[in-house]
Amino acid sequence: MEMETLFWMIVMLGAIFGPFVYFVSLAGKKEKIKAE
Amino acid sequence: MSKQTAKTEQWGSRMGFIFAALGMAVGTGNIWRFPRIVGSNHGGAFIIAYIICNMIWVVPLLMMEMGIGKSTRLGAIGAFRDFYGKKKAWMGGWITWVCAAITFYYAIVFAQAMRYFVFAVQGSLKVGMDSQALWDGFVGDPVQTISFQFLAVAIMGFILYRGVQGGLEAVGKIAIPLLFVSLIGTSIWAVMQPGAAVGLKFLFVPDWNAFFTPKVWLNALTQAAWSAGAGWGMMLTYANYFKKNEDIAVNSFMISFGDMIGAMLGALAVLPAVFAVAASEGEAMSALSAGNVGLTFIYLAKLFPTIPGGNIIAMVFFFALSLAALTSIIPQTEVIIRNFVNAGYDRKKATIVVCAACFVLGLPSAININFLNNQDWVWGIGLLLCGLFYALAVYKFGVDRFRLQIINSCSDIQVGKWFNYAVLFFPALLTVVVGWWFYQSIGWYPDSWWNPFLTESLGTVVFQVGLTIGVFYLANNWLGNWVTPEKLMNEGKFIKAIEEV
Repeated sequence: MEMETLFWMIVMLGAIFGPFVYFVSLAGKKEKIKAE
Repeated sequence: MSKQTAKTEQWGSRMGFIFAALGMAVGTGNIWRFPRIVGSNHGGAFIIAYIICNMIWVVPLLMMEMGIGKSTRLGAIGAFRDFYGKKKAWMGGWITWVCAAITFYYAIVFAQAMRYFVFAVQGSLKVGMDSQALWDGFVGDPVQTISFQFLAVAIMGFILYRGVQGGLEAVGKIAIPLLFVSLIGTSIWAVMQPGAAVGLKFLFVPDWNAFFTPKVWLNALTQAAWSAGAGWGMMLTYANYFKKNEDIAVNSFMISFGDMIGAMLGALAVLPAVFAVAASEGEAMSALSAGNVGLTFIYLAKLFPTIPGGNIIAMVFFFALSLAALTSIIPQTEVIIRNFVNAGYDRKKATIVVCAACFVLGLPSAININFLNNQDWVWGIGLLLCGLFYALAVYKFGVDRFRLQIINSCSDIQVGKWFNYAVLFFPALLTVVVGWWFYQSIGWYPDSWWNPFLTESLGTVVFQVGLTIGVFYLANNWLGNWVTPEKLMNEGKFIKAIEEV
């Protein structure tokens, strides 16, 4: 695989997976606080 | 909290809601439409435009749906009556109708995915087989199509009959992890094929010349609007079951990004495999331009058996497609059922009545594939109009007031004024996208675009959308009185309820 492809693959997947993980962790944190 | 709210079913946990909401958002469109749209719109350039369109259309629309549904605790008809005004119940009715019309034929899509899963299990997908003949044999045989349609409706009816926690939530917790694991497995297999790098390059490396072309943006906006389930009334209905302090902003972003992940996994499962097997880039592009059915049931069904391990991957792929269809058709049907429950029907009886109606009214699509294609075209445009109705309701309430009192008052993150600009921009976006689709449809039938009896003409959209809007507009008073007389907003309890949050 070319370096250019790898670079853009990481950028694109990061731009989608990154925010999703952030929002899920935010939701999970609130759920945990509620449970405590 | 009113009596109505107290009696309403609720999500058992936030994660349960998130799984169900992801199931709503990730549908067949992620698996069979996104890969071919991203493939025929310059890959990476399209993905950037798609992310931006999700932020300016899908996220604000999900927020509006959730806000209205959580505030009124009523299905679409009652929600529009109480939130927008007594003369606007018809808008909720029409949104419900659009969702219902899609559900009628979507059961057939679910049935097709299940049939191909069974084909894969039976070993019917093999090297050298005529996939076109297999498809024609299936859709041309009403016994098969109606049997699988019946199975599809029976499965969704069984789940919905079990209610919010026992049905919607329980299935989401099982089906969504299974769906994502299936898609990830198929993606890994596809990416490991020799020659897959060509597909990956095509998918991820942006073509900056294409990025500035209107076609890429119009396709991105259309895909975003159709894929995430925003505007259908599904999130409005799911928000009826929210707990009092349920977060609107975080949930909206999470669902939108979750939908994009489903789309990317769909693209990773399909594009590298198509490019690996196609003799040339031209052949790969030809497969991608063959439409949803052409790509999935004709091309991929033929492609899978030609690659080592392809039979197992075909099973996993069509299983994932079936799960995606199932987790989407459940909330679609719930949109209809919720209105019946608001009208005083017992939930279980309402489920039986609605599922029976879905089966009967889906029969024309099961028997005639052109009817299905016609309905898909007409109500896809209808869905875009639904987004406008939510924006109009929020204009009346006050866009900034909605953001501050309804969204930010219960959210972990504070939504900025970008929400106001996005919502105010809705009519312009809608005009551009619908206008573009109408312009294209005239090109499909240059001499008879006005004919309402052609499958994908402009005339058929105007006729069916216009007729149903007229019928629901005239039935406004009846609809307004049909659903529960509980009117949180009109009794002043609504504002009190949101101020308490």
